[in-house]
Amino acid sequence: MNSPLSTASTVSTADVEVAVATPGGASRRMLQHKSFVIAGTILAVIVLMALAAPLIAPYDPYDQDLNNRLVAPVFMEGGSWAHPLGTDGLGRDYLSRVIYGARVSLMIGLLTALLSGLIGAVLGITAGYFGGRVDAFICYVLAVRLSMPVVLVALAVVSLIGGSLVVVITVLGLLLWDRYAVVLRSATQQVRALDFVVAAQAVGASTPRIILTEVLPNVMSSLIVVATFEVAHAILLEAALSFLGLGVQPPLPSWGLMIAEGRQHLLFEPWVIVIPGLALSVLVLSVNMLGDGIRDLAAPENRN
Amino acid sequence: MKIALRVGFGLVALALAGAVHAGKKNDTLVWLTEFEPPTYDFYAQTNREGVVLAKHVWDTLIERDLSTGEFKPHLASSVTYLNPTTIEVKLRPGVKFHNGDLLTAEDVAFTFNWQNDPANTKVAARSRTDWVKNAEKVDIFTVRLHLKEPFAAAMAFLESSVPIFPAAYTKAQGSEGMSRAPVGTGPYRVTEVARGKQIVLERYSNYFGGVRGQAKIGKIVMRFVPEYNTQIAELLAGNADFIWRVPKDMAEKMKGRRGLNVMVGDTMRYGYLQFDITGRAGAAAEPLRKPEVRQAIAHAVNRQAISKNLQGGGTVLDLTCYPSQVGCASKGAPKYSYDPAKAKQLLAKAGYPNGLDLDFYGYRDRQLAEAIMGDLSKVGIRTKLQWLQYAPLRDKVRKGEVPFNFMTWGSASISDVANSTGYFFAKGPDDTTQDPKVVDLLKKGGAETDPAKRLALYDEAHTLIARNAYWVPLWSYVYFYAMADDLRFQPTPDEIPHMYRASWK
Amino acid sequence: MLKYTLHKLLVAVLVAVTVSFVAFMLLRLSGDLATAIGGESARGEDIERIRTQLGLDRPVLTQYWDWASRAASGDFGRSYYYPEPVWTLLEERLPVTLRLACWGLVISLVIGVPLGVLAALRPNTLIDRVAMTLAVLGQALPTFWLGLLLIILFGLLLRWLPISGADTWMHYILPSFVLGYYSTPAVMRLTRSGMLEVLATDYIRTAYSKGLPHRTVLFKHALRNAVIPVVALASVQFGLMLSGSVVIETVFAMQGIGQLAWESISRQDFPVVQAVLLLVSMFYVWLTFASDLINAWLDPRIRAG
Repeated sequence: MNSPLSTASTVSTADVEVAVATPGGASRRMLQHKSFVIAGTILAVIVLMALAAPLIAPYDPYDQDLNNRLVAPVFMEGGSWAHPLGTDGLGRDYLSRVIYGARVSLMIGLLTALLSGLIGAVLGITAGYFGGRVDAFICYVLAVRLSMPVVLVALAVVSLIGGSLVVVITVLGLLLWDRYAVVLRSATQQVRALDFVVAAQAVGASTPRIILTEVLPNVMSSLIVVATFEVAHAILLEAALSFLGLGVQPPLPSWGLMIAEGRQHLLFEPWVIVIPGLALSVLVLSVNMLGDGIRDLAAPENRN
Repeated sequence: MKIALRVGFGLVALALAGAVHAGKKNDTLVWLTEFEPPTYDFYAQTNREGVVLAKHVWDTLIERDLSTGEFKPHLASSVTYLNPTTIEVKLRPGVKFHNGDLLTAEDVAFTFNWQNDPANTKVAARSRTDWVKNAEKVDIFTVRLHLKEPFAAAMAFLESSVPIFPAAYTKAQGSEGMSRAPVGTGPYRVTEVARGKQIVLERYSNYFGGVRGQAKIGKIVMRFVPEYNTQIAELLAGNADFIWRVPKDMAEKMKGRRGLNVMVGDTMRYGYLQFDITGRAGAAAEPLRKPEVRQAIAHAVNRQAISKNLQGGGTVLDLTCYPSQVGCASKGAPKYSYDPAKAKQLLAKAGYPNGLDLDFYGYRDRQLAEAIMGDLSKVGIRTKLQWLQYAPLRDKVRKGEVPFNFMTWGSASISDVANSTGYFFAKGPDDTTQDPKVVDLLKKGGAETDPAKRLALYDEAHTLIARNAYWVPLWSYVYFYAMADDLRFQPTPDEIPHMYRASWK
Repeated sequence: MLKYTLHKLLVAVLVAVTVSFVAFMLLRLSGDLATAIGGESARGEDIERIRTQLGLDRPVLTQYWDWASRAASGDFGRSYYYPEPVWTLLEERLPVTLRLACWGLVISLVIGVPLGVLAALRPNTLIDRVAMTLAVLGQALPTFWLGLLLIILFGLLLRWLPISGADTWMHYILPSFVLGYYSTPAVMRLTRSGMLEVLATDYIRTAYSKGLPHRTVLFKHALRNAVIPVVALASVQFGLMLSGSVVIETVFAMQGIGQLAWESISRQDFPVVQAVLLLVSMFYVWLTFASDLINAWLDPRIRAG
């Protein structure tokens, strides 16, 4: 149970106990869990901001104005309400870029988590359900993937084929499935031994049917917990790739790219990095809190 | 949080005020730079820092006189053409290498012949020497260079690209030995090589002087620090005396601080927009084969504003070369003013009244690239940026896969059009135009030894290029230098800080 | 135990070979190395010559077999950029990264374990959330920003620590902190959940009911058991740190293999990139192999499978 394979993820299998779905009471518990509520609210705000971007952003985030470069935000010396969060190195309004940036960061996080979740879920459930040689093979694939340093591989690939939103999502999606696989494998193993699954097998139900109707719903909560952490992970990795010049391409307003572009203004125009950095931190923290909250809610008997 | 920010900012400002540099006290210049050369053997690499160090450790046969700009014999006592394909070099007697060996014709002949020898696998750019068919030792201080064909840029190449290596030492130590312990005749000798960390140079007391004169600073320590924010921190803390290629915004913020001096210098490196009109780049490049489209692009980009505001200077260029290069002039070449309205008209005339979509490739100066893209989108040209590393991008350009790109060229600091226009438009691997008339003119110019005729040929070539807007030349790059204010230093356009001319105030 | 060991060994070797193959093929995605070596001012003819000299015109599988068979005996070939053999480059730079990774690990444990214990003792309270936030901040803050901020504070304003380089032990303090802070959330979460799990067991309840003092129970029994997975995690984090130090080595001008890898990727210096990928993977493979063995030795149930 405590093999390195399982502890490789920050969410260990000890964290994720499978809870067979119980009806009712769930929404009441959700609302009582403080950090879940806070995180959920913050995330809802960010999502709304992303969706309503064209309506609430004061300027076009791509509009450059070389005569108005590096204007300070309103709360610093030299700032004004014309640009509440100042402007960047090309004179683009920062508030607008932060608002639109939410779209890009969320999109990267969600799509990457979706892609890697799909791969990881398929591999993990298959390994956990069938066991034996299939499991051994998938564990071998997992070991290969885990031993490859993600950052270096991503850098190498992107440097060869060029960075873009699609490339980043694809590359990260194809690399970040390991935690899903590990957790779901373990969760599936637990579910497989449960009564109703054994019963379904005895009745002669087809394997795909069993997996879809019996196994999947019961490992769903583990899947969601991992997914939330992976969303945060993907967003952070994109920021790191952008810092090294190999993430999404300008002029896309991605928070990660904005941080990277602020590198040359770090010493004297600190808001260029601090503002998107703050936004990114808030998003990542909220996602993490949400994940913790979901995990707690999914298996309350483990806590306290 | 914001208060902390303001306090932090204020503290940085305070810190800037009190930088005390130790450099002058112990006559040691600490110079921080980004890239470590892979090897210190000049001929086995093309890295900029490597070229800079080579200038300090070795000498060339001729040098430029700073005040007149003329080529003067330096290691040589005379350099003359016996006939259009033979150059006779007479050496100064009594010049000693750092290891005590005497400089003779053997060393000059060896330098050329060894670099041209196909058995020598450690040559990064044979083009530095391969215009010479073979170098013949005539007597102890005389060498004859036999050229393959008349080569008008010979003097420029002798000045910048052929430092003279010690024959005996190089033969004995090989390229790796030379890299571990470089030996030359130059104003500085290498006293310490710490791979990955730094290289230390000390003034060579037996330097012969020549056109360059004696160096004034006793010791130079070049440290490799890849992150420019860290370089600035070190400079502000007083741990470093000289940093270069500082981003413009940071340089401007450091101006006027006590203890620091910020300088700006034009360089020969220029940026350009290049089009592939050979047809190889497929349907994507079709619009670019129409001269009106290219001319529209030339009118759409506000080169003056971008260069001034983002770069902090630089000269807007109208020809595909740097003005100080021999042959870089043209009376008839049209100039393209910043005129977005005209750009739109030209596009409409070419059949694109609603604009068009293009892939736009680049590898450096992202902000500049974005600014260009912004200007283009204002006239309806929607660009999609493809950002690559330098090597893969150049590779793609050569294969004809890139319809439209933004790149830069430093001409290897050679002051002759042969290495700029003459390189890109004379059917070489990087020629994405291949206009037969231009090719012909440039080939003739490369071989023409009569200066007036040569200039006329280049003039015509540049006129053709500009009329057809085969390229959109953008601007020359400026470098910002930041240093301790007790250092006297003068920047030069060849992208090489000549520290042997620098001194303490 | 022997059967278990052999089995694990076989898997380790298999993984190692697979990784080397994947890394090799991955780097062939596109690009022409000859251009990279030639540099920004090289002319076409120079590049062609480089291509034939380095055997880049041979079929890909031939190139792989050539490389792999030599790598097995420790010869990683020559760099396309540096004159030295790849192994020399790695040898020169590995110590810096190893030191960074070790210190980073220590720091992540020093910060993460106490935070995890604290959170486990007071789960779902403010203390728990604050501890979690502090830990996660380590991943949410951009590494280069944190590094440069610390440089300004400790190197420029206070002048307590040197700014760049890797000469003395003092040069390692700031970069190790940044590196270690990045791994803190993982350590903290694991400690927390491990502690919670152990604290809920009968074993602990018995200890309490025996009347043992709270502190003894905590440290002697609970923590010791909870630490086992953390040790395993440490080996994994170590591998992660080797690749995570790219940015930090760049910012602090420390010539380690992280920076070497990044520069080599930019220059398409394939032999070096392959060697680094292989090296980092080997660390992971052999560390997990070792911890598998240790765990099996400690806990016989694992051996039984």
